[in-house]
Amino acid sequence: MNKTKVFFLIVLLLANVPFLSACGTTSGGVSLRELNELNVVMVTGIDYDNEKKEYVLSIQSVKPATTKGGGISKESVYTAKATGKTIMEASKNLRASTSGKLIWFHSKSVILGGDLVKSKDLKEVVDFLARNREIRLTAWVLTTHGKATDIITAKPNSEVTLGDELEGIISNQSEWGKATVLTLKDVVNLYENPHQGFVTGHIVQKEGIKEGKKILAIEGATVIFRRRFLMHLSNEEVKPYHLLKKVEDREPEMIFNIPLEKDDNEEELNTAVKVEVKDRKKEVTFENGIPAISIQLNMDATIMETGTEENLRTDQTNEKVLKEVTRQIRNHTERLVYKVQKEKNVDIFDFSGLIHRKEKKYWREHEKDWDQIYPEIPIQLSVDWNIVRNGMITQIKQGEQQ
Amino acid sequence: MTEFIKPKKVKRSTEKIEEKMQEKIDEKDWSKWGIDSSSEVNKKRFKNIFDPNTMFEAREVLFPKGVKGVVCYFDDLVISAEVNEHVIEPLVEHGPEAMFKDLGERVITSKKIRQFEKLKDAVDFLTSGGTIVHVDGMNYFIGVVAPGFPARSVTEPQAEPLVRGPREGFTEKLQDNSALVRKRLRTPDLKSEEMKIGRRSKTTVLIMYVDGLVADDVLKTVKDRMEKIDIDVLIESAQLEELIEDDMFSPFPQIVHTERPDKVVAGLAEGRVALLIDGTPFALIVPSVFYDFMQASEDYYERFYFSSAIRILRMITFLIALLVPSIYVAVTTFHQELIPSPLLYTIIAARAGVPFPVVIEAFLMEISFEILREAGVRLPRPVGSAVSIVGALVVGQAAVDAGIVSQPMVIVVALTGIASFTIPAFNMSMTTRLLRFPIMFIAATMGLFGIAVSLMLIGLHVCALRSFGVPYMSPAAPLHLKSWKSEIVLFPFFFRRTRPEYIQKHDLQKNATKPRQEEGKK
Repeated sequence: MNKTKVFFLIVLLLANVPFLSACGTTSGGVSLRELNELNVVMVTGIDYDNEKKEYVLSIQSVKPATTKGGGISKESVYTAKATGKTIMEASKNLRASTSGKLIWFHSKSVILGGDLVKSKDLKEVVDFLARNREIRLTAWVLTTHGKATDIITAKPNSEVTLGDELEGIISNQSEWGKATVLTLKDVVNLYENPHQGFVTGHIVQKEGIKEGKKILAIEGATVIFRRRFLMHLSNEEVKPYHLLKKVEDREPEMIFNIPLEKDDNEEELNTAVKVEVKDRKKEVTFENGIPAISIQLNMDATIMETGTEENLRTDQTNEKVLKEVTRQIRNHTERLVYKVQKEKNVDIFDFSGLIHRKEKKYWREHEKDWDQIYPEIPIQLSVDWNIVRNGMITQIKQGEQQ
Repeated sequence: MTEFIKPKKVKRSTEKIEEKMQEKIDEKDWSKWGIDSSSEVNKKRFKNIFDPNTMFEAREVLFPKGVKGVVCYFDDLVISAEVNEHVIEPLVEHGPEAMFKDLGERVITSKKIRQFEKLKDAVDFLTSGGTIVHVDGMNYFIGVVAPGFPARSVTEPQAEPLVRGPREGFTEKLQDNSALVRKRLRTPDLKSEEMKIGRRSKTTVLIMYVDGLVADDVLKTVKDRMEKIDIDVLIESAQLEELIEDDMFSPFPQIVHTERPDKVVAGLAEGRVALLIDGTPFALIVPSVFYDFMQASEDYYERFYFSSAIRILRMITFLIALLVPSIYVAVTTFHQELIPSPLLYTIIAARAGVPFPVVIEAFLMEISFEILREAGVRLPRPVGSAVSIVGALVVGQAAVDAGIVSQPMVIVVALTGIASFTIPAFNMSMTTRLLRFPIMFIAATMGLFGIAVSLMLIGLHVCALRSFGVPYMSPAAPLHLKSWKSEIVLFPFFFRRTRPEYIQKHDLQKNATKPRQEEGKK
């Protein structure tokens, strides 16, 4: 072939390039979407209608219009709802009432309604969320006891859109320690696990400061085990959960209130201690053929507020403070472990995974008996304290008068 | 100096002269004409060759005993006063007797004397600013060099300004340019060979190189390619560049041109060949690789931290200039998931009223930007700046306000334009400007995949490209890590000990300075 022929061949090939854009599909390849047409879904809610046996998909989306300096105005936020035998059908039915091309890439949170979580196998839902290439694995999965639609249509308190509001609330979990929200990736990893359950956030509408105005808040968490709803954890119960299992990359801060002394009216004067896990070691030991798990926590403590008159600099006070905090931590964890281990027989702390990793031989032999073994496993918790910080002051006292 | 032989005295009648003229004029091709012993005949022959030409002067000089002489020159190409002083006056003063003995040595006081045995050579000499002397009885011409071309004085280079460094730039005069180079490189190894290119223009091209440093095959290639050139008129270095470069269809420039003598000297010291062309202030440096186009001479005159940072920045701006509009088009039409949510909302909001698809918008803006730039360059300088201000501020702002283009697109186009200005070599910057359009088109049809494909094609092309046998992407591909120290980033001087090893391999040691021990520290 001479050079001219090659040249014309290349020109011919290049001339076909524009047609490639027509070959695109949503399941792969190239697909052209103009920015002006986009209707960006920010939050997705999935409900199940038990009477009609149908899924209800509700979304909050944003279709930004010209604004000075960009951003989103309240007028460009929309909600929509559609039903279908499957979630995918419902999502297609959404198009009946929405303008623009819906894209799910920026849907940061998925809310699962109470009816769906409590009465349905979650297989279809998680499969839909994981299979769809538009939904990100980093999306947060939340549950609610009522209808997800109600949460979707709720008015955000501080942000313009609900999506931003939810993201803001969720990102605060490490500052608080009483909430835990999983991403879709973790949910996909754990929901089929026959030995472990997973814990994810539970969102509710609460009464705000203004009368009649409802606000969104994370309240406790939902435990889902073997694709189904198992139990609810309160905010206080999430705290020891964070101590026993590393959930987020950043360990959350949590506050323990300890009564150090009483005032003249015999009322307790509390001291607030901020506690942060620095290191966590989990070991498996065997006693009479039964595995035992010991957890060693290495923690920092900071005194944030106190009503006591004692000198907080002394070792005795420090010891007293730490002893009390340790006692509370033990109490909290024992209560939680009793509830999930003895009462519900669900492993939410990844103990089964720990034994699997550390004692492969034992696990292979006893995996099938895990349901019987798990409630009997003793769990020992020991707490080491690194340092006690006192904050900016030691004690506020009246200065010497001259 | 040439030995002059005293010719026999010949006397001829006017008739005889006429006869001789006639017989020679019958021969149409003047290049075959010979040299006659009579100066009058020769004068007529020159007149015949050049007339009508008001600038051609053939002055007769009369000596005693009826001996005649003729002095020919182009009035516009020589300084008449010099011809008078150094040629005619001495001739008349000393008379023909002394003249034949040592015409060149004593009589003519000018410095440069040549002897021509052929009429054709004498004609060439005349047209390049020489003066021809002939006295009855000689069977050769004497050429005196007293050129007086109009020339610009040495000024600061316009195209390559810098903050620190020599401010001398080449001019249109070859001798001056050669001097500017030679005064910076006073080694006897600095050789220069002359070559005439252009059938009619006979432009002098000076091939300069440092003997012992230059790679012989490169030098040979340069000479071979130049010898094969057969063009009519060579006006600018660009023509020569196109005629000798390896791949004239490549969008990438393969030969560095510069107005700066210091850059030429640096190139020569690395073993490159410099080509100085008469009539243009631009010299060519071969071989040149991609990274040479990303360097400014000032890099070497600033502190190495700054120079390294600037060089890395230039690599980034090269990519920005080449790719940013395409990436913007691809990401906004195909891959909205790549844009962080808040930014996406901002872009959508900014684009809400725009009636065109992103790619049309991008093409509109890019083309209007090129129009503005071209208008700014072509117009007289005072008007040019006004056009760019009107274009950039007024039209841009009005287009955004009217909702024809969006603000992010203005930012993208402006960023791209400014990024392309940071590339030191103007021809490389033009390459990015031009390549941007096909990449944008492919990005608009195939998204990021298309950009990846285009980059791969460009990568394949530049890796296959060679400049006089040197791979174009050296020292990156093939890898010469030692050369990175002075070619891609800039290490301190102590570490830059070698010359780039892809230019030549036989003499690499450039600098042997050892780091100085701190005083008092042993």
